Amino acid sequence: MKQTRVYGQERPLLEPANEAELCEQLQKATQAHQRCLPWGMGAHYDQLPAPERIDAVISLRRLSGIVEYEPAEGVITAQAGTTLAELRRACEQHGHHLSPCLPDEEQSTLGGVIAMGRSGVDRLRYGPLRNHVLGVRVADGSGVITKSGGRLVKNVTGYDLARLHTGAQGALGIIVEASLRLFPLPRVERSVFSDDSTLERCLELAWAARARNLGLLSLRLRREQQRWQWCAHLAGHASVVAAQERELLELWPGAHCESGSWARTLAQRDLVRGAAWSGPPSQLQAQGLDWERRYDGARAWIDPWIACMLWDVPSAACTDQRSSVQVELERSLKRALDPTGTLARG
Amino acid sequence: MALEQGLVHALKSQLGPEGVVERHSQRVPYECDGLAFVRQLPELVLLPRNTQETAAAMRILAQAHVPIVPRGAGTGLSGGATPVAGGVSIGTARMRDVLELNVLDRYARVQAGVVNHDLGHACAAHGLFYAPDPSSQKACTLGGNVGENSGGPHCFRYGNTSQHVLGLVIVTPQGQVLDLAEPLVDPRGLDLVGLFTGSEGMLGIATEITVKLLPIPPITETWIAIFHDLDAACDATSDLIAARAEPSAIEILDQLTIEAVEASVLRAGYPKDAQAVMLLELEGTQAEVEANAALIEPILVQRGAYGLRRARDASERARLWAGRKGAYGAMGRIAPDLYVCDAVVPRRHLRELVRQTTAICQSKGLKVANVFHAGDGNLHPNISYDRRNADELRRVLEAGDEMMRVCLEAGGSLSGEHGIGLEKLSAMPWLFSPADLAVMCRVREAWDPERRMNPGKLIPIRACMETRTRSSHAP
Repeated sequence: MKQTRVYGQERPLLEPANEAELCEQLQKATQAHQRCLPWGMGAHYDQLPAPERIDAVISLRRLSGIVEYEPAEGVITAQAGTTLAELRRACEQHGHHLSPCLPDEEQSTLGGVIAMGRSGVDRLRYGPLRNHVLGVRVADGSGVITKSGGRLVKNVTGYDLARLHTGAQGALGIIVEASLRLFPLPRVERSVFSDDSTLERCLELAWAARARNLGLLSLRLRREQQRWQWCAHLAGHASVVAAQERELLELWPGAHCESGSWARTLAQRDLVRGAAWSGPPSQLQAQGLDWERRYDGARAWIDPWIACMLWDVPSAACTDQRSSVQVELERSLKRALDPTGTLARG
Repeated sequence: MALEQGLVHALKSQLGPEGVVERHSQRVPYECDGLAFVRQLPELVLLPRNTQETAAAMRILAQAHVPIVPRGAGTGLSGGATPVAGGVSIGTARMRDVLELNVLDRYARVQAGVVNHDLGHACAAHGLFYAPDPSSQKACTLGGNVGENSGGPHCFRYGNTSQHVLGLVIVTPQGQVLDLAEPLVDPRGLDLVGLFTGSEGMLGIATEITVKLLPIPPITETWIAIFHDLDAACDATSDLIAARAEPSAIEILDQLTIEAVEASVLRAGYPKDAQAVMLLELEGTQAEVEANAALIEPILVQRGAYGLRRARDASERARLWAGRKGAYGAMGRIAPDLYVCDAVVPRRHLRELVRQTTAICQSKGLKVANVFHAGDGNLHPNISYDRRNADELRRVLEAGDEMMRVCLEAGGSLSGEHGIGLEKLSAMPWLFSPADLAVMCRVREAWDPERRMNPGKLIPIRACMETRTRSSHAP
């Protein structure tokens, strides 16, 4: 049997070609009291601690392809193993933007991204990923596939289990198919970069821009070699982008503008893994200055309006801030949806 | 089945005499919600003032194994707040405080009984607004909105309630307090707030709600377009979606609705001879509004829209929307009762499905008016009827079922914003397999093993029985 290396250990790799094979393998695993780790392309797994036990890795990569994409509806449904890059290419041909916009889309599968609850650089305009997942089909540990939600932009029929599975890291089920809401593809894209500056000055400008309600695609502060740069991404109709650009240049006359599809380039440059913070925007400056002192030379980015930041330094083990009531409820949900414990996480 | 006096005393000692409604005449207003043909008197109504009182009451009720039905303003249309025999209704009418309005970080923390419109009023002075705007927003509460994952016209752009809830304080069925009120960028652990929103009061009671506030757009324009027939208005909507136009609302009112509104005090100035009126809202900066207008206008004209114009001023805007949002009330002129059906369909099939649902009602001799969130494919065929007429009521319910079937066959779903409640319980197996329903049941039992919270709603009982049988046979 094919093997793969996860968390430093060789483990059998199962590669079901279709849903029926996946279900059969899960049934067998359940009967053998095995624990399986669902696997897309491995883009995210090292960001999570190792599960207690892994007996097999189940790759979803062969469950790939677009199931339905009606451009006139603005919704795409695809199998979990489809890469985000493939989905984006299909959507862009018909004038749709796919959110989240991520740095590593050739290596990220739809199922993996949803299981990790990853939002993109375009979150400022489109919101977090969990808002875009309209429906999922999920295999439970015993190999039974069920659905929640659907392929409609508005739907409150039954519990919203798509939200429960988004960010659940595959602990409650293996996503086999998902539907995402799409957005109009911006006609024009521009980026505005400030010259090098300080964190205080960049934040001051970020707040001033926020007060103007410009509707930017993203606004990020980036730190390289101890200097901060302010980087706004504009996207939309040409006239809208031109107006946004004028306003930003009013705020920061020394800024320079560039054309082109920058969102992904930006996302790639911001592929930093390390210590993360998020909280209310009003606390961002104090936190940012504190970390600047602490992590003197580190690269970093800050998303000031969403109020989160990531610093390229080894992240300390996070303390679990969940209450005992929450922890107990999450355990109950795990027992309810994966009673045999076939799914390795959670 | 009367509740034991000892239990009532214990509840009074926690909530005070004003928090416990015992007298029959005072319980009558609670016997139904907007699904008025289903009624059940609650044994007792509790009106706690805060999270602590709610938790104390729920601990007492848990010990006595009493079923609980949460209730906001009772404006829901699917029977989600219909009391249960032998059970207690817990209302949020005395939880009306805005606890925090954080202008800098753009969120509000409110008690569950705060009325949707009042929150909007409270934040408008700071240049902010709360986006979900159900037609009942002058009466409905944020707690009810969370329970049903409510929508409204502007959800076309902004999404239903779940996209705006940042945090909740939930009292569990056992009376524990699950404090998830902190406005987080992403959930810590599982997205319990997301799961709870739209769970129709079956997982606990939300007592405090943290919601996202948005900046009021610099420019808002309301457009009215008139059509010679409803088909053309529907086609224009499908074309707008296909062209990826970005208004913030696309609403359609048909001829019967227009007549009812214009004959009422809410007279909005819709032309009485129009077969359909479309209301659109365009928001954003000057450049955004103009760019959108340039895309939208030719599409509407191409589909035969005439009299296309922008509301002249804020008062005309308000009047056009008051007519739309007050349409249900205006239909009271047609018959004493109104059955507001709620279904969603793929937006490319709007015309066929509006036609089919209308034909179903007409074939049963029923008067149907359409006023709906066209941009989201969210149909609302509204049937005027008299619930005292048993035969008419039977035909209304039959029509409701048939309309659901045709919407499902076209790839639609049972509810876009009203929820399932009692109304569509029997239709759930048309959309979901027994395995799908069993998963919902297991999720519910993870929160509420006794299934005391809002029993008999959303999940058909058979699905739960099957889950029980299976788990009791498990090794």
